[in-house]
Amino acid sequence: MGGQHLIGPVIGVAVALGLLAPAALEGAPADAAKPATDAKTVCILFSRDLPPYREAVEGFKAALKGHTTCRFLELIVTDAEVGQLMARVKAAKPDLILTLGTEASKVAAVQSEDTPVLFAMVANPIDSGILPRRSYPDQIVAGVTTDVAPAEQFQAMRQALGDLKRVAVIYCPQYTEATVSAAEAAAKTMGIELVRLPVEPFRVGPAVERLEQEHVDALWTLTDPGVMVPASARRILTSALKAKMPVIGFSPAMVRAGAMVGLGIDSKSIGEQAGEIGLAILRGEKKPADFHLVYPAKTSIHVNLGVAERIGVRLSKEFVANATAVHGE
Amino acid sequence: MKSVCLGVCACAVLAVVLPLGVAGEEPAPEKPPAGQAGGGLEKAPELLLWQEIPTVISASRHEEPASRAPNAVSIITREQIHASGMMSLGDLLRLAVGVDVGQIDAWNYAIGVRGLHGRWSNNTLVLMDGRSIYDPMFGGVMWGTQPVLLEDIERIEVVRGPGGAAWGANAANGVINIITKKPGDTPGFFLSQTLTDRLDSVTHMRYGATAGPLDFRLSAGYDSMPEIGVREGPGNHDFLRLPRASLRSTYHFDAERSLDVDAGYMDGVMGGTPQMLLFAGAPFESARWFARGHFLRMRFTHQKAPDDLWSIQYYLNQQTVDESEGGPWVRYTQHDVEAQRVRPWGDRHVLTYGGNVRADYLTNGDPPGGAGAHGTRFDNERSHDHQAGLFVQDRFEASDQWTLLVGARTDRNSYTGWEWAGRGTALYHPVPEHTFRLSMARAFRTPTLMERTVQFQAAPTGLPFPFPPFAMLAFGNDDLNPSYVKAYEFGYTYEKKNIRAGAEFYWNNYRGIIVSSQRTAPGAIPLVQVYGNTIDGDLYGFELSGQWQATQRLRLDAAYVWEQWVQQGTRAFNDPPLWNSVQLVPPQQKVGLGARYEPVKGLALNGRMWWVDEVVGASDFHVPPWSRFDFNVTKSLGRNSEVAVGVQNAFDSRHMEAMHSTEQPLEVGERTWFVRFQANF
Repeated sequence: MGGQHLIGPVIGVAVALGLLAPAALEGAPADAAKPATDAKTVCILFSRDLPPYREAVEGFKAALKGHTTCRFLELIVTDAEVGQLMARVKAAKPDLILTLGTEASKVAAVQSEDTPVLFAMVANPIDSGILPRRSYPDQIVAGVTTDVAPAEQFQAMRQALGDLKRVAVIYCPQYTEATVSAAEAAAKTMGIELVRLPVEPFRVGPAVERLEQEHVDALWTLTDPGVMVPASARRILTSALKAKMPVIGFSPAMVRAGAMVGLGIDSKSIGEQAGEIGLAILRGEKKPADFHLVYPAKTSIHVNLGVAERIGVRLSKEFVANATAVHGE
Repeated sequence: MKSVCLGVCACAVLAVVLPLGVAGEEPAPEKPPAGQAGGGLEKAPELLLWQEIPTVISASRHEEPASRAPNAVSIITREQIHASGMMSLGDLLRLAVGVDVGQIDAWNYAIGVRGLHGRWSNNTLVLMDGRSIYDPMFGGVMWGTQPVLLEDIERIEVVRGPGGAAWGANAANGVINIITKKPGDTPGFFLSQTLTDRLDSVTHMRYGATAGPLDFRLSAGYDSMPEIGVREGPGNHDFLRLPRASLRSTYHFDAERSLDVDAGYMDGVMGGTPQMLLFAGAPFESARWFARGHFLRMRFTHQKAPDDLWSIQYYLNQQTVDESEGGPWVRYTQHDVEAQRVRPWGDRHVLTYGGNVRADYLTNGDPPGGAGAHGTRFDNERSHDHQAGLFVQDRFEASDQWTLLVGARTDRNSYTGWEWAGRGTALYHPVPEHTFRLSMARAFRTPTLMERTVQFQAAPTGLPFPFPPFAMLAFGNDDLNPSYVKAYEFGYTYEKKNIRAGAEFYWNNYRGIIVSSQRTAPGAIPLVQVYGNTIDGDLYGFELSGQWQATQRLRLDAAYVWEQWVQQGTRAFNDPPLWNSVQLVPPQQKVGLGARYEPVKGLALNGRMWWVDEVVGASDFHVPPWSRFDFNVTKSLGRNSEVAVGVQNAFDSRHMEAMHSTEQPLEVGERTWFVRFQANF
């Protein structure tokens, strides 16, 4: 007799341990796992090396800090040939690709096979082809745009004027048709009619002439590269000023130049928003389709008192007091 | 030799203006964010967020909206042109405050700013896209034969008061600036056809397109107007048949630099009143004369901002008038080179400076039958002018409420030597809605080629020697001086969102107005007239106007003008008062009312009424007061076409408005029904 009766139990225990050990290890808390297993890789693609993009990345990293461990690979799209650059990205096997600006976003949206792409600091992402008009379950791209939500812009002008019924927009359909359509839908929900004045690129003359005949309450401007080159922007602002028409500027610079009211963005805050979205994606809690297009959460109201006075608009003290920045005093 | 001198003068002007323009260029206003490679906004529209745009709030202090201009300005917009239903350039000018318009016959008008209007209104300078269309032969504009189609006009700016400081000679009473639409603003096919119950026909076809950086527009039209004038005596043949065509093109090198090349042609057959035919050298029985004209204009512009640009322009005008049977022919050719720079100077000044050189050549000849026929001749040896001018203007924003404008211009022409014109204006705008303007100005009018060199003979007596062969003789005078005007003006403008109102008070003091004065005793044969600087006088007046966008669908406007001519006495024996010249004493009062109502989208009702006080013309002939009411209904037929039906002179059919020089006026203004169809493709 001896130890022969123990062989069966030993084999049984060994098989059991062999089957159960992976399951036991899989269910272990993440912080108990070794760091190399939990660390994520995020590729950050810059369209260009610009301070606002850097600020956004700063915010992105700050949002991730303390919640996950990440390894970052930073590349500038314009510095390298796209093929080489994406080869480096693929070699890094990222869990997420963060893109700053339109150029990098377009490259990543096309070249990334199934790695989620999160963009930030992009204007008109649907018109640029980065995002589809509507989200679909399998989409891998989402992000935070620099476009302030049109409803927020209209609301700001409504507060300034007291009422807002008809708003005109001069735009180039080949660059901003989707953006204007979205704004039109938003305006409609607010009881505002958006009067479209489409133009050919750099040919704002006819629209400027029509502007005076349309009898609108305000002119809304957007980041349209076919309209807002400096010479055309000045012409539009000058004509609006002459017609005593308030303008909703798309940036603080536009307000300084002659728009009456405008909303500004905060690059770092946009990065933080992107960081929160990225964290959810990295954790597997959410997918890009759950976010699609996100507007900036933090905006600043800019007001030009000189313009308001020139066109005869009396802004309430409360409105001015609530403005983040006042120009033209 | 003269060409060499002209070329040297042109180079001198360019040598002065262009280096100042180049040297004075400011750095590019926008600075891209650090690290940006530059450009490529289409690829990265978010870059627009950090793009700095020079403020327009200061630019608007340099900009010149109508209420902030140094002169009183009336603007006829393209919407008003379209809504009026008018078929001629002369008629269109009735829409402007302060412009006296009197129709002489089917296609001739007496038009002037603040009076002194006549068939040859030689105190109003008329420009089209920066090119003078003021006829240097007779001093005036052939309104009915300009190669421009009304639907191609963007707007007409009428500057009331002396404009010599900016434009030089012949802007004594004002400037009419006709601005056509940019070629890029008129894409596609356009067709317009107007017919009246008098069988007038105005046809306009146009094609515009953009090919890359090139915008162009080709327009062609045909006007056919039957005779309208009714009078006793020799028959009236004031018909018009005028084909005309024009080309406008702009080549955009980039967003700031462009080259405009324009050309136009007209070749018309027209008749006139017996006086006109006589003047042209035709016998009374003759029924027609021919006018052909063409122009070429080239302009290069570099514009960074409305108040920062430089430009250089060349244009050629040429026109020939001749008879098919008998009578002499006359041809004039005008060359002009001009350069201009507008630039901010510091934070509060905008400087405008530049200059031009111009050459006018007039030639005339006799018909194949040889000399001896009656008619008008010019001395070919003396019928040419060379002129050069320099101007400068400073617009100074002294404070948020005060703006000062000072301008001066000096010209030198080949027969009167150096002349100067100037204007000083103070604008006070205590609050944005109110603007007060105080202005003083000096301007001059140079003698025309006709006034200097004409040899006119008419009314052959058929009598042998020693009796005079002609009963009427007129001669030019090579010793003429320019006529001068000094003006003192006060203006007020109120502008708020839906209302604009204005009041202008003015006093013009004239010295040496040139008229044709009789030099022989009354009843003597021949009657001899010689041009001379014989009349001094004052014109006082005020203009009230208002426009009100009452509702989104209803727009109203009104104007009232009162003016009084006071002659100071004449300088030579038996010199007649002003009304024996080609100019008319302005009506003492004028009233205009207009309304536009759009009850539903696509339907518009337009109505306009004028009442004009009596006008005194040649031989102390008083043209009685007259009124006119125009009305039309315009209906859209889908997105791209419309039809208009209307009536001109609905109530006061057949009235006199003005005459041509010494002749009694014709009755014009027959009630006319019209229908107009327009379509865009």
